[in-house]
Amino acid sequence: MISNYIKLAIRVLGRNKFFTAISLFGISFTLAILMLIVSVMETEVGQTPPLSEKDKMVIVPNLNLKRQFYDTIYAYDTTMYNGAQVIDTSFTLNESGQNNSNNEFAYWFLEKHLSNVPNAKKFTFFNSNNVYNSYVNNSKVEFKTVYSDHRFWDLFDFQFVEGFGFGESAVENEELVAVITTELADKYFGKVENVVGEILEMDRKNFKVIGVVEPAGIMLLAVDIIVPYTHDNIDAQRRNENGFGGYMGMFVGEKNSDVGLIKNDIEFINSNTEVPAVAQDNYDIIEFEPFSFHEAYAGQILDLDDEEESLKWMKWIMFSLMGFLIILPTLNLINLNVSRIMERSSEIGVRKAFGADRNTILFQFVVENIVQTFIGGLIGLVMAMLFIYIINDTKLMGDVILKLNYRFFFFSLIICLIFGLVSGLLPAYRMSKMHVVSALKQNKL
Amino acid sequence: MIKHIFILIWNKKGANALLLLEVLLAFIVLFAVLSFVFYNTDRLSDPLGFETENRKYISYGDLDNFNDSTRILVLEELKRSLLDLELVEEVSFGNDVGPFKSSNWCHGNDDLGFDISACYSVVEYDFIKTNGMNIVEGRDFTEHDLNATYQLMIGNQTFIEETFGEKNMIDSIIPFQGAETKIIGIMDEYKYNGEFEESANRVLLLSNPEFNGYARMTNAYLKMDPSADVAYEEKISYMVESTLKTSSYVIQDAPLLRKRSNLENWIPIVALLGMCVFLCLNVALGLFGVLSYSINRRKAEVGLRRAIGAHAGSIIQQFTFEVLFLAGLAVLFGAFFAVQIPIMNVMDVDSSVFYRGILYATLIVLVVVTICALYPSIQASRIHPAIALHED
Repeated sequence: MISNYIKLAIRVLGRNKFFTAISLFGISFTLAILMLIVSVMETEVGQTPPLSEKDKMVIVPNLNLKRQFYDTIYAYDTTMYNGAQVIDTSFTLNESGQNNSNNEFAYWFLEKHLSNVPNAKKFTFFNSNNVYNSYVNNSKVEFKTVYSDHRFWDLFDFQFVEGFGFGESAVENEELVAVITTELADKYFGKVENVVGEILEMDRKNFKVIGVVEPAGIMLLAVDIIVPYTHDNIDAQRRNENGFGGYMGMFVGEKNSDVGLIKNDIEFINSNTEVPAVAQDNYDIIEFEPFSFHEAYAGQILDLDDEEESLKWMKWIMFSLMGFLIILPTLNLINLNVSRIMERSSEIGVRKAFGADRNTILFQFVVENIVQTFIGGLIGLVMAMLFIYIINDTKLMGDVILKLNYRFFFFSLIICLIFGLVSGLLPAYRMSKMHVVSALKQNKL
Repeated sequence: MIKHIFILIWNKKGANALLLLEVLLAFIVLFAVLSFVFYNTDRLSDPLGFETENRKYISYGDLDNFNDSTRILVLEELKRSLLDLELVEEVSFGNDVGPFKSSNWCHGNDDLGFDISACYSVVEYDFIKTNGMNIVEGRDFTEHDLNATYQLMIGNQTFIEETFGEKNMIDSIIPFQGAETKIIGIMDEYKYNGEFEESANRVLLLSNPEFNGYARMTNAYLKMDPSADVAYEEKISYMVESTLKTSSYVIQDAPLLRKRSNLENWIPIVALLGMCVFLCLNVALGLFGVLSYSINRRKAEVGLRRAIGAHAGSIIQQFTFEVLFLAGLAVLFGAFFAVQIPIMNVMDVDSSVFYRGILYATLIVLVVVTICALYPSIQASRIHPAIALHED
């Protein structure tokens, strides 16, 4: 039965080319844009390597040292009242100011306070703030450098093209080893294969490449080269006594629900941590807030006062954007389909006269619409892939590399199905409701 | 006549309601996107306040490999050796806050009984000259200013006007960031976060260990001869590396930074506009389809009207009026909701942005709808009465 409906649907599509073109244009463009959004979401917040455990992840991005001053403010307001000057005094107690320093952590601080978070299965501390320049063959190569501990490789599942990451002994012995991305390998050595063993000069040291990985391709982890943190020669970043440096901590739990537990652990540790001795003259409050990956991500994009607030806003913005993107073309399609009911009236009349009930007719037209949506979806998919190719090729989104994976196709399929159902139901309902007599009277086939 | 048209519209209220909803949604989307675009592009007309052509920025961080006293000597040496290079014209230093650094240092106080607040950069005396900034009143910093008894400040016009009004503030002394501060000049603008930044209170403080020693000079600003190329940057890089005894520094091209910062802002604008164009096109095509279909189905009505002497013009008028009335109703609805945003001050944005958004969204919707209605109406008006009546 369904195969008959599908055949019929394809026939109907060919019947009125102009209307088919209009419908397909709307469907394919809408779906292409939706697929693009899905791809961006998948890449940035989905569970893709090297961050396959985003949902179990907690980030502690920075350290905040504060001192709050309270102050009484007197306000004198003079006004003329009945010819005489009147002084109106008021005072308010308010936060007159605060000393506030906010930066990433020194390595020692993280190691001392956050290397024993009970619910964290894995954790790593790394510094991703450094950029070095090198001049190769008359062009400038910029290295975005990450200094990390050996645990970095457990937490992030980078995809190795060749070689492997460095271990604990390499870090402790300050071995000159580095893992680089294929992108940097191409820029620096002019080749992507057999790079392991080559020597790369950075920060006036000669590093031996021991591994080559695919670029992470997400904003939060834009990196070209990863080396042991013991080579971080800006000493202050590691040992600064006030606790400030360039490092942040990442923690991963056993399962998704551990995120809350880890956050509690870290908040508890925070409440039991004192301001580092050298900073006690200036500050008396210490804060390091843990965030889930999605909160940290939203905070980075929207930059509101509070990461949780940012996430809430970002969800709203995304939903309303997608909502409008879907609703308008859907309405359009409904309008178009509803106004074309009459085209099919004789067919419906005949089928009804031979005993087809309303649900059968409803089902037929919904299937027909879904077939149409899938054809549009296929065109949309091709367009979306084209957009993604262009965006990746021109580096329109900076370090972000949009990915296509089975989840992307799965979500696209679902989007097509929902779109087809929603836009097909109302017209199909109207058609199925049509009265046999009036349907047959419209005798134009 | 008009009453009849209303009856006709009312008779098809089901289909018309859908049409109305579609136009309403299109209007809201257009309004939102256009307001966003206006909000962003409005700020483009303000000057940036500094030049980026032929400028290079070097940031080398805190230089913790030197102690406080040698650091100053090393930076002096760096400046001398950079200026010795043939194609380097000017060199100046500044703290972490500067062009495209995306960091802000702000200070506010009300020691004088009113609010003085601004975000500031701490810079060397030749910063203004190196970055091609404009002094509109007062004077620039000079080399001798280092011995001044006050912390010296050059504010932008926004800061001076918002804080002190029309008063002449040159040589006035105000408290700022814990020191007596003398305003010696006014610059036109200093949008160091890029062209899309809203004009805000910005000031430059002259670097002076006595008043603002906490602000280390972590960045060097270079004005280059136009003939300097990438290979030349390597020379500079070598010079910096051998003087500062570290290779943890970045040399950046100012024009590139500016382009990147602009691109970041243009991408969402262009993406949103692109989606808007697509949505409009989609709605227009759909509308066109629906209208041409429904008008075609009213051939009998057209034939009858033509037979009793109606003009082709009046047929066109009837159909376009019908559609425009619906669209007008939708726009009115939309505008009613849209106008609440500036009236209720929902967002802290200049309200003209929203009014322009409403105006242009209305125009676009009405023009698109008219075009979509006109073509099928003209076709309908060409129908010969005899043929139309014969069909039924």
